[in-house]
Amino acid sequence: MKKIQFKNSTIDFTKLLPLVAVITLFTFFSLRNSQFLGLYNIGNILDFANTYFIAGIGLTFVILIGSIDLSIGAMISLDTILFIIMINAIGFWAYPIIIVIGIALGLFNGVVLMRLKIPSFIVTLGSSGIFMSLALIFSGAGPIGLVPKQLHTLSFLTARIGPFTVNHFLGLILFIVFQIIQNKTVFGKTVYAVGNSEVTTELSGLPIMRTKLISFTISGLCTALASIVIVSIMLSAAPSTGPPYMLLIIATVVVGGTALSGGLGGVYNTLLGSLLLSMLRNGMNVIGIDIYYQQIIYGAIIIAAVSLTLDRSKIKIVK
Amino acid sequence: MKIGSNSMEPFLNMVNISKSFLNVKALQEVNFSINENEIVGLVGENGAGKSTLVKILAGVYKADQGKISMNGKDIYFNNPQDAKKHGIGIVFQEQSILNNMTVYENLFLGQEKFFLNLGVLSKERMLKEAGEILAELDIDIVPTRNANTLSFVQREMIEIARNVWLARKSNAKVPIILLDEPTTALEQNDIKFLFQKLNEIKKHVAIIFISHRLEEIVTLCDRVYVLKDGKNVDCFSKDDLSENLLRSKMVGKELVGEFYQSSMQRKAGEKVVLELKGCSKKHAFYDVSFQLKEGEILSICGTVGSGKEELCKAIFGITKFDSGEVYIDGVDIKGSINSPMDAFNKGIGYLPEDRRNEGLILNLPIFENITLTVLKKLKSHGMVSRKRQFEVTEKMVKKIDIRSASITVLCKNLSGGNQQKVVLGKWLLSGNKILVMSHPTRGVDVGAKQQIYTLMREMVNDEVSLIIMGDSFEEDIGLANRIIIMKDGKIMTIIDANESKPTSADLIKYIV
Repeated sequence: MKKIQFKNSTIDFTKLLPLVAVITLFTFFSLRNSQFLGLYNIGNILDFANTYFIAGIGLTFVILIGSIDLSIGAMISLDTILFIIMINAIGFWAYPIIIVIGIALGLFNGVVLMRLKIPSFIVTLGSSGIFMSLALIFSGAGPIGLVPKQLHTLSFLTARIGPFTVNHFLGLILFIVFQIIQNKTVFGKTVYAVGNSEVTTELSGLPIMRTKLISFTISGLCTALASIVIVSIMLSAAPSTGPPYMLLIIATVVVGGTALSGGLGGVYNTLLGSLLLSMLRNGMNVIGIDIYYQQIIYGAIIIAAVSLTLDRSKIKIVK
Repeated sequence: MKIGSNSMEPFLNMVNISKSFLNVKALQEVNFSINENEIVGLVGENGAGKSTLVKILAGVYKADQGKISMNGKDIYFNNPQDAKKHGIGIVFQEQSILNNMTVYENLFLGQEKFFLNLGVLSKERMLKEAGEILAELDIDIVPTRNANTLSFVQREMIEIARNVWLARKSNAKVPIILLDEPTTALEQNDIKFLFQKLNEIKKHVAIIFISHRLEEIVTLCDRVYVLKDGKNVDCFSKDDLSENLLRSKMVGKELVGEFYQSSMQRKAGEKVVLELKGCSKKHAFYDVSFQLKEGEILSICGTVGSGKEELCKAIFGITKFDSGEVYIDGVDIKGSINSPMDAFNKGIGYLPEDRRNEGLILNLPIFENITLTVLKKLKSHGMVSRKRQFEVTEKMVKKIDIRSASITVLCKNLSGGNQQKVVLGKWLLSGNKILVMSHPTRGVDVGAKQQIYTLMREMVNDEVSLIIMGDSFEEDIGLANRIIIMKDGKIMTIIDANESKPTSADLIKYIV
């Protein structure tokens, strides 16, 4: 991405462009339809954005180191199914356990990548199959609903305060925490270094493998948290729950301006990306664009976003 | 100067060739000629201009000045394709044989258009022509063989055959084959085989041969050009050739002035900070033993393929030793260095040769690059303090004179010299006491070079010990307390440069 030098400050287009797009979309849809700014609709936009943002945080770190995690969709299926089974059985204890499971799934991806040294898209494509099988086995291949007596274990998450729900605050807290991890910790700095030049980072004595491992673990953790949010809204889970999320989670991260080539972008970008996609989807519904046509827009937007952010100096041959 | 034994106009003649890169004069009015059925050698130190001359002949570079004539007619190249049309082809050091294809496919790689029948490749014709050219050059390889089963020297033969064939196809009168260090990766019998083949092929072609190994030049070549600092020094025909003569002509002046801050040279301490005992790595180096003293500059000299690069990489944990013992401050640590991170934690640093891709993160600003090695030390309450990053960077930038508008400037926007200083600054900050430097002044202008030398002297005064691989013998001699000479993976000798400096000729004696 190009940067323009203004005296002493640099303006970063990857930060600015998605922000401009969010504001433009917001203005456009508000002017086209008064319903757009309604309390109920704003809540809808935030709900959608929140889910994709939370899952997208983990993927952001993975993409920042120059890898990809294609197992998130299958992880969501497995996480949501296990979560709802556990809630039905043991209530609140399901929360800490599903978080541990999420971390374990991410760690699994990371360890395989580290030990076998094969490309991350193959590792996660493979593990995606494993997770999906587990989801089918645990669910008996069908949907599982929440038992009514456990409703209270989940309902507090969707309690509304104005247009906001408790879920949204979870998203906000995660934003702050991971923004700090990304910018202020040795791990965060190493993530950017690895994404930009793995060789230089290694020759500077920094831990490459540990950084990758942690990134994939964060992806597992965030997917579990997103799964909690999904279950709290849907109150059910099925093996088919996860896969539709995969493409749009990748879209969320790249539309926000995080480069697939690594080292550029961040959690803030993913936040913008989630708002952008959510408003776009909602706006298209509100002004009445046929749902059959909406996929065209998403697809075009992903291609455009990647072509804008990709660092071509790193990828000499496109395969 | 003498031009060949032939009084006629030579087959290929290069006259008054000059070429500059920015301010560096790579070639100044160089003359070169070659006749049919002749093998001409080209020797000189690194940076003497051999490669530039060859690349001009192959159409990779355009000369600023001078002319090239073939058969008495002036010729001009705009690109390598033009040179190929005149029958001139290079056999590169990095070979251009594709492993996943057969011999005949490799032979005609990129020239498939000659074998099209209505848009379909005719395998029959390819096999026929491959068989013909291989038979003509007496190369005993079946055309349908897979390239990945070929030995190094066989691949070279295929490349030579490819160039000869292409020259024929272009109706060039005599193919000219440029061989750039073809023996670097070869064993002794393979070299013998290659030379025998070259002498046979000679009757069809003209060959230009570049090598560091003077004994090869003397045995193989009919004539030899010596280049130094981009100029012709001399040209000898076979009868006058000797290794000693070439050696003395290559080196020329042997002055080692204040450029290397020799008066600042200190005596190394008594303490041994790093010791290798009988360290080996297959296909790289064998039975290497030496000691590095505190505050010493130890230089490792040798040609490409001498094993010095691999040795330095193994010390920093980039590759592993197969056997041997490594001691740091007297403690055996070999088993515990498996990665650069391990070496780093043991107090070793490594300044890579390729600073843009391995030394720097170009897309990150100066302060993020310089503090890469000290992120942990700049932590307070678990977080890296931006303020302290700025503080230590500002101090370092001032100390080593990095010239930039601000420390937030991205490293890709700095000049080569300043970039190298950022890499040095990174290692100065790390506080690591043993630093391996691979070509610390490569591609840096003269002013920055001198600053880097001064900086190295200062580091040594702070009890840092340096292992360096210099860009030239002069640099190694000028900087080092002791010089290790490596050849074919073994230490030939260790020369003391504390009291009196050796000359380049003293070093070359062991290297070639």
